[in-house]
Amino acid sequence: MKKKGLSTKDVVAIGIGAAVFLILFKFIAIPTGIPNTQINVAQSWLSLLSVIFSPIVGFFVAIIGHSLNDAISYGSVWWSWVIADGIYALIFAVLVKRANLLQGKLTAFKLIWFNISQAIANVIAWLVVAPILDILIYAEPANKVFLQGGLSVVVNIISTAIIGTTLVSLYIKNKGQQELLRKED
Amino acid sequence: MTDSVLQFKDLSFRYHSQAEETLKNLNFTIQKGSKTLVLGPSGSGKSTLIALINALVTEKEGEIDGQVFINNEDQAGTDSFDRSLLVGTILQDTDRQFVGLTVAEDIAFVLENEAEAVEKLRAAVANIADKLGLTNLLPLGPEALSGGQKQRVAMAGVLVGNSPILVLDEPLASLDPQTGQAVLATIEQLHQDGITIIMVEHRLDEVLRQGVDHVLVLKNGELVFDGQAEDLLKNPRFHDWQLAQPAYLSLVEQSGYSLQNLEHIEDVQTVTGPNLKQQLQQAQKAKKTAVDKGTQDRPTAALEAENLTYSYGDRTILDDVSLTIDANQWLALIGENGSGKSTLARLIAGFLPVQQGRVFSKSDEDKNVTVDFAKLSLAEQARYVGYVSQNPNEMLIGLSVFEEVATGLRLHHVAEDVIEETVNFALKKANLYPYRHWQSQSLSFGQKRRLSVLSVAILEPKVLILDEPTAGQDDVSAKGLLEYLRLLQDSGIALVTVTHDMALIEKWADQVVSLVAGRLTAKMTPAELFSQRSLLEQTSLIVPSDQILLTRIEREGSHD
Amino acid sequence: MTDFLGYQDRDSVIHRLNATSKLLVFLLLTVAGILSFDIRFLLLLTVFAGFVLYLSKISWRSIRILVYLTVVFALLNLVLIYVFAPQYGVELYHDKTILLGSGYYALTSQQLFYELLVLLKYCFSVPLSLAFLLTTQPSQLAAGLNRVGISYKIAYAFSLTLRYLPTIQNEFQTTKKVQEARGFALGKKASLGKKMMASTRLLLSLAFSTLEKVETISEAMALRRFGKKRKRTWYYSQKWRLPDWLALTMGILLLLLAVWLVSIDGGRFWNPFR
Repeated sequence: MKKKGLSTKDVVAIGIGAAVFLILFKFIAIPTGIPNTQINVAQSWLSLLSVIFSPIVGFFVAIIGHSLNDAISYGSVWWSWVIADGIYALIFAVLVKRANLLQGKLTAFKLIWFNISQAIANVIAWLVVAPILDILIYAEPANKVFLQGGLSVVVNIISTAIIGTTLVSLYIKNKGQQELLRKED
Repeated sequence: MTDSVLQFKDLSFRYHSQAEETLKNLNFTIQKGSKTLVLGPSGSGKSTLIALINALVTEKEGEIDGQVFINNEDQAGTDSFDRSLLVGTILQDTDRQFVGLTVAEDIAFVLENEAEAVEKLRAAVANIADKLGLTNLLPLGPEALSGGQKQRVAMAGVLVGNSPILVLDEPLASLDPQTGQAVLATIEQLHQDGITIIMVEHRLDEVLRQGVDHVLVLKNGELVFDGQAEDLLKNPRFHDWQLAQPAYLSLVEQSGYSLQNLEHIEDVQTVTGPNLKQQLQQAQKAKKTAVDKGTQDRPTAALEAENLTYSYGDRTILDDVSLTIDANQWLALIGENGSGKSTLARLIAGFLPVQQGRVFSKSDEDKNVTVDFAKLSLAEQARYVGYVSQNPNEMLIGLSVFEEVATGLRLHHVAEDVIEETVNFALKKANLYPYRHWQSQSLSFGQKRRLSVLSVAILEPKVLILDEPTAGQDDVSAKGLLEYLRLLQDSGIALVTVTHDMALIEKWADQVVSLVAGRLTAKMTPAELFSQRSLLEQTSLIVPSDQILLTRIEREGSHD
Repeated sequence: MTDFLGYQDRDSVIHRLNATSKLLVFLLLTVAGILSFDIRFLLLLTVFAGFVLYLSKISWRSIRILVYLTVVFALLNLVLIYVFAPQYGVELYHDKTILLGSGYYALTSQQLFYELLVLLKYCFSVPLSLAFLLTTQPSQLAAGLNRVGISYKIAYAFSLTLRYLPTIQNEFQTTKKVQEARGFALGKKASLGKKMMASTRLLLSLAFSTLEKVETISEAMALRRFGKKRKRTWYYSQKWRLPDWLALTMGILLLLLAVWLVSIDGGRFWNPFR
């Protein structure tokens, strides 16, 4: 990734963003009642970062945060899911950028676009990328991995729709007022 | 003009997003090798001034009119990379400035970025570490360092790049007074070595103890004072500029003595004046008779902690500590870094699990029933004791100002119309009512502090614990908060402030307890504390300058 | 930081290897282990990884809990595979030897053999990554990442993650307590909706303080010229010594062995049932 485009701010956003991602991943686990399936709060954090920073930032936050969490919590890295998380951030960011969420007023259209984007990105990441990688890397049986993927898609879409949407809209509301305040200060 | 190192010429600056100029037509010159102090209340433009010196703010952010000269060269068009070769900057928050995983790595950071050869870089780090007494700390990570050590690492990390000008943004902000003096002494050492020092700092009293050559005062973006400390302190407009007056001068002024008659006004050790002694002694006598007007009744206990022992790993942090918090009293909890004062505060508030001992209070409903906090959930305990963290970001969540306060009540099923009335009343008292519809994150730092106090105090706990309530605030906003706390105290809430703010301890607290090596001293009054040199030493405080002056005057004969 | 694994400062052969060579060997062996489903190779790799962990002088106490957790997780995964695809082994090895029962869930030796392979994958990867992680000083790891061709900016971002992890963890814990005191509980008793609400609030306050941190930290880094040049040096960069070259050679040889086995087995699976 010898890209010149990564600014110092992007680098710091990746570094600190990944640390937050890891902490959320590790310490907020909301069980859904279905075994092995938890509400993914970290993905909402990833979605906010993707709205604010470039797609590459979200991608690396997911890759570093997820792999480091695997490594220091379990001792080994489940690469297929790490990559799927990165792909989610990448696709979501590319899609959501088109709505220019940070410019102008927050409309219902923008929030719908936000959710369509996350749904598409979730489907691709968890129903396509993750299972295929599981099969390629770990030669796991197809019906197991696709079922796991399908379950993740449903849970992720719902939790990002609730937590992610609230987070992003409150962020935008606060940010708008901050700029107003600076003008008055 | 040969020895000017930094010069602002007709400099004005306006951020693109703002209608008004943040800095207005500044003209000043800083001499090579001098030590300059920049003063001014929040919002006066100090941060922007620094950002223009180190080029964190350039034409990209706003409109620059006029010129900045460094070493007599016009700096127009240079960026922060070029500028950092000339100016080394130390930010207010040295924890955030610490970006390496170890001290060695953090000091080496600027040279690493210059892609300096590894051998050269290691030699340079060893050299500067030796000079600043950091050699033994080199392999340590930031979590193992004290605030003063972090400050010195930050200096080393900047000086290793050989910048001839050192800019420090509030270097004392998060330090206890003793460490603050040590850091000021290091700064003075660098000054002696010929480095030009430019320092922004509110704590004038403490800075003056090591002396400054030159003072600039900003107010509303204008340079209102440019001269020596002596002239600043005697300036009749001093109070208009909302600066914190050194305690010994407040003492002199309050005794009715004119500051104009003082000699060596900037140095508490040598300041004199005709009849100063007599005037001060008279005033002290009058004060004593006023204070002695009666001891109060035996206070009732709002909350008690008994035999608390707390250890972390092999380390005992609290060793059999018992403490009674009296109703309606303002208690200052002091102690040096790592003495366990934050641990004690968090144990009482229920933020840490009690390992040994107990924390309890009399029940609200029945005075004969004792409520043991170990049996309560954190939410239930919040009715008895509230905790306000040092960092308002940990307390607030970006709802509207009204909602931030109201949520606590709502969860306790208070009726909606009562909530509206209670919250608005509290917001008015805390001077936050005009902002009630704002999002909490858009408030200023001082306002956020007040709001986070309010969001906890609204539940009317018996005791409110505050961690370093005045840290990082200027004089005006700190006073605003303290006055609000006084109102809470008057309404019946006992206050516990964990602090090393000398003014808070001296002027606001009723009682002081100190933690020394995990053990608690007896409760005393602030005056008793400041008369015990050894205890001050053990708790990282210094003697307040008004006490220094009084003791000195006492001891010296009347040689005026 | 008691919740996480971290670098353990000891003196061992593995500790003395430089981070770059360790990283490369780790990657080579991970690829080899992922590639191969040849039980002979996986057994060899497991023994090798176990030996490396032994050499690294890591105490059993420090990794005990984690190993237990991994074993539980691995067994759960094996059960899940069996539940969803009990005849997957038969499909893979084109042979069916029933050991127990009948019908769809009949236990076959092919299935057992396949699940043994999956188990072996855990058995080599856990000791290998532990031996790598616990013996490599984080700063050296960042320098090593840069050395193997990852942009220094990404390598430094990684270093920043490690640097600020304890800070953010502390902030997270305090915020959580503060919210709990105000009545937003994340505990076991709370309902799903309450937990969602509480965690959204927690996330919000973390988000604001993080974004503010990003501002000041990037300013602090810019003032010390981060990102000025196309490359940077590292205080903790290390020299290559003979053992590093030996380790690297061993890694390459093992990967080549895995590739060679794939070519003679005619695929990633070695079939003992033929």
